[in-house]
Amino acid sequence: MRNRGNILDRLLPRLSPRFCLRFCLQFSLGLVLLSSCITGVRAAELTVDVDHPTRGETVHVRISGVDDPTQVELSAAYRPGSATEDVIPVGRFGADGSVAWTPAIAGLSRLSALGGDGTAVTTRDVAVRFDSSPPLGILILLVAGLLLFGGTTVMLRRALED
Amino acid sequence: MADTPRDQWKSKLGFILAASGSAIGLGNIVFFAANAYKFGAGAFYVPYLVALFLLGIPVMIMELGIGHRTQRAYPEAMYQLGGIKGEWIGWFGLLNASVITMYYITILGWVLGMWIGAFGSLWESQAVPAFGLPEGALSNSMSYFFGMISKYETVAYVVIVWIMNAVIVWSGTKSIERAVKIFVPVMWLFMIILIFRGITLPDGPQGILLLFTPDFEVMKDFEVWQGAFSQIFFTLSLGFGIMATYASYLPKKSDQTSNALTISFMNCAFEYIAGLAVFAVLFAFAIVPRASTLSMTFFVLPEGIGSFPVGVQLFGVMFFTLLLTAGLTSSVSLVEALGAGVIDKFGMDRKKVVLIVSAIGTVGSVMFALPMVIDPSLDGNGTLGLTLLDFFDHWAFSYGLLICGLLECLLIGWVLGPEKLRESINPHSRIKLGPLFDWMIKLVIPAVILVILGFSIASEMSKGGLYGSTVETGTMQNLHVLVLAGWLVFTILGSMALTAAGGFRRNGSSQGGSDA
Repeated sequence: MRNRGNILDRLLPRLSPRFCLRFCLQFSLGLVLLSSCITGVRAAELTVDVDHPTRGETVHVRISGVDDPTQVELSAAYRPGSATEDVIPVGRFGADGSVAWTPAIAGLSRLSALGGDGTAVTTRDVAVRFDSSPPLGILILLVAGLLLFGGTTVMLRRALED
Repeated sequence: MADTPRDQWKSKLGFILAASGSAIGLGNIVFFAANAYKFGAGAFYVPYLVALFLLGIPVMIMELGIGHRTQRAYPEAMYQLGGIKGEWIGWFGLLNASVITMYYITILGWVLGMWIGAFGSLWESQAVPAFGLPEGALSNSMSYFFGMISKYETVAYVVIVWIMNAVIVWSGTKSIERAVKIFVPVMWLFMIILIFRGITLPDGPQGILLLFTPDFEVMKDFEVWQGAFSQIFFTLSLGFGIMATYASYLPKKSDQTSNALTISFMNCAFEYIAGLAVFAVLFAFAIVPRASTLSMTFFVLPEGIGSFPVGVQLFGVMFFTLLLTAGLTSSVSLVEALGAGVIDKFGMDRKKVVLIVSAIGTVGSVMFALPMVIDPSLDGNGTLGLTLLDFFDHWAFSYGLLICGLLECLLIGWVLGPEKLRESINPHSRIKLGPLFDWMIKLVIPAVILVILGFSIASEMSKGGLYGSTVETGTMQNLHVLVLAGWLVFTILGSMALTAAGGFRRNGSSQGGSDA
């Protein structure tokens, strides 16, 4: 209590109108700066029209949480993180924060929003569907299944007969 | 010791389940999917099938043939076929496999820890105090994993897994056969349930198409073929000396080509269905995996399971039970191969050998479970144990197995003569091996392995230094050099010392691979 009294004793004589005006100005300026900082650091986010876009079909990718979307570029990495990763630039976001993207390869893709210095502002992983059932893929699925399970069955039966 | 009465499998089914259980391990469930993704998914599967027939099946026949012809564990079998040089290769293979056994059992200890977590806390967000990370800084599975490996409780998990292994190999083929007759069917059942869960997820079948649809542009990349050939070598447990040891417990009249085909097909069929389940989950939840077995096991797939609309705990427990059973059937074979080598060499009592091998192995595995944090920023591997595991795995797994396979082919191809091995296999086999087998063992397979090894070394050099030099290791700046030196000393000098020790040669084991 003694300390509190001492502080108040020291502060009260300073509460002149000039001090109050300066305090109010500085406080409002602080609020403005704080709010602009909060807007600046709010998390950037990418969203895609559909959860699983289809290869060859155009979708819109939107960015939110950045001040000027036109300064941000979108790139798509197909097979991201693999030894065969393929990165293709998509284009700059428009003023409305969206850009059109036509996935070129089915499978997993990583969309990256790149800032002016080329670093990723945010990323989003997307699974791209095949536009139609790939006949060769289905053929390999069936042949491999027949070969491996058929082989196992035949060999196992032989082994047990012996 | 050549006259020691030999343990034998009670049934052919017991042998097939044990050998396929050995081949089917964590690698089939997670490493295959991680590798397939790494090398372009659809672009990987065709080279993988080519590798199965070109490299996998012939080497499997050769390894089974070695054990079957000599009826001895790997080092003595190799001695009988190629003299002192052969024995050194045998011990080199087994010592390299013992390094893998040690960290493999540590990984199984972590799987046990995750299995416990799958009943509840694994699916919740939590802080990781050892790394100074607050709640929500990492995904649920990552925070649980790093929280777990930075505590000494993992040492207890490692000891439990070693005890399980010792119990299973305690009575040799008898106890192994009993265990695999339970574990292998459970493994298949759980895997099939997980596939059904995977393919019934929205867009899950699209993930399956992704795994099988070839991309010919990507297939032109040599690295894809290298990855596929390495995968086949590792997945079939080749270069460990396990298949030779298991085949040494078979009667003389057994059909080795059929056995090799059964084990290889069964292993790859399991990998096929595991691939279906994993790729369905990856696609359905758009999860981009980091191409490593550990991240796939402990972060990526649990993350996918955590996204299931219902039954997260049930499928989580099932997934880690599957990993534990698959891992145990493999680790048991590794322990058995090493134990059998020592028993054959020194004529010691099995139970004494199991105790010695388990005690030494536990110390080694505990080293890989050391929870000291050396990289708090998680730029590298985090703990000392995981960093050691990463470095040792690089040398023992990526180089040791291939070197052993190469030396084995050169010994059979150019010292013994593959036709002699073929002559001992063919009389008991329905499918007869032709002279093509000889050329495969003499030239084709060694050339393929040499190319893979050469490519690996070249790619390592192009990355600018010894593996691990860029990994964050805190104050332990030269840890990567120490690990390489440790691995070389342990495998090369260790195998020299074991070869020099008297053992079976003193006791009259014959050289030359007679069928007696």
